[in-house]
Amino acid sequence: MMKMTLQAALKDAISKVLETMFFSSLEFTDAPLPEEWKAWRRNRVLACRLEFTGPLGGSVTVLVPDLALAALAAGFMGMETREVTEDQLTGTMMELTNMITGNLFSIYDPETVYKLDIPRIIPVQEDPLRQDRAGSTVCFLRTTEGPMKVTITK
Amino acid sequence: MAHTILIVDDSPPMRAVIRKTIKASGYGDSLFFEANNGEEALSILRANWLDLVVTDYNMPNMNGMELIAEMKKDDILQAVPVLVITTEGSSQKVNEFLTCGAAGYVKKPFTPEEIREQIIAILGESHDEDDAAGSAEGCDF
Repeated sequence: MMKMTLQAALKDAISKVLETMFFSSLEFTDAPLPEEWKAWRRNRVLACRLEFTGPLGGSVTVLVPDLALAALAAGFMGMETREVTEDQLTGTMMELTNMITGNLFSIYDPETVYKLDIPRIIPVQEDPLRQDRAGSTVCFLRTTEGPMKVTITK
Repeated sequence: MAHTILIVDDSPPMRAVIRKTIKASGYGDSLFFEANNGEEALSILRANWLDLVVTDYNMPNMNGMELIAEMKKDDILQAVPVLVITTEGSSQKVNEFLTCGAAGYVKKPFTPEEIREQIIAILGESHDEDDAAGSAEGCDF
């Protein structure tokens, strides 16, 4: 069987995690849609990174505007968006990153063990919509709750 | 019969989701304990009698595999069944979990039915019919 590309595996992993545990529906886009720029530019954006080692080494970074993340966290935990605390917001972000990364490798290369680090919240110092480093695998997506960006950097 | 269940995961939101899923699977009258990692779990296990440990794998300080290994060294704790719920999905890792003594394995993301099937296989069918009925078509978190 031909091996999936990293991007196809990443899309599969993201879909599986968001649909199964966050009860969200989503579609992938090539770039942020014009109507989403407001969400990226005007809201606080949270970022979480998880480093991995194995036949491939690198990191997965997930970026989500805070309002979209609050709605995702509410769906995940079965509560109202206004009830979500800051700790639950960051906890959900870390678990989301963990599940996407773990699933990415079990889809991409199920026979190989990749060592996953503990996910950590990182400061968003640069424009989240800037051009990523050459060779990065990037997915933009639009969920029911808002936009999201996931990048694999090797 | 009420059960005592320990949920071990470094993510508080994930612990909450697992607890709600187990409750909705017909074990609503169970008594739940929670721990952030294997070390905390061992302290709770040494102070309480537990029917089941549900643990993540990738955690700081002591991971899920190390927790199982520590439990297997203990004459009393080795009898407590452990269900591993983790994103680790490689066939080699799953074999390691089962070989080192895990009673079951569920991969994240999971459906309520997957958790329910594993818990029933380990603890037996619950008699908490009202809760179990609600889980037939997925649980309302």
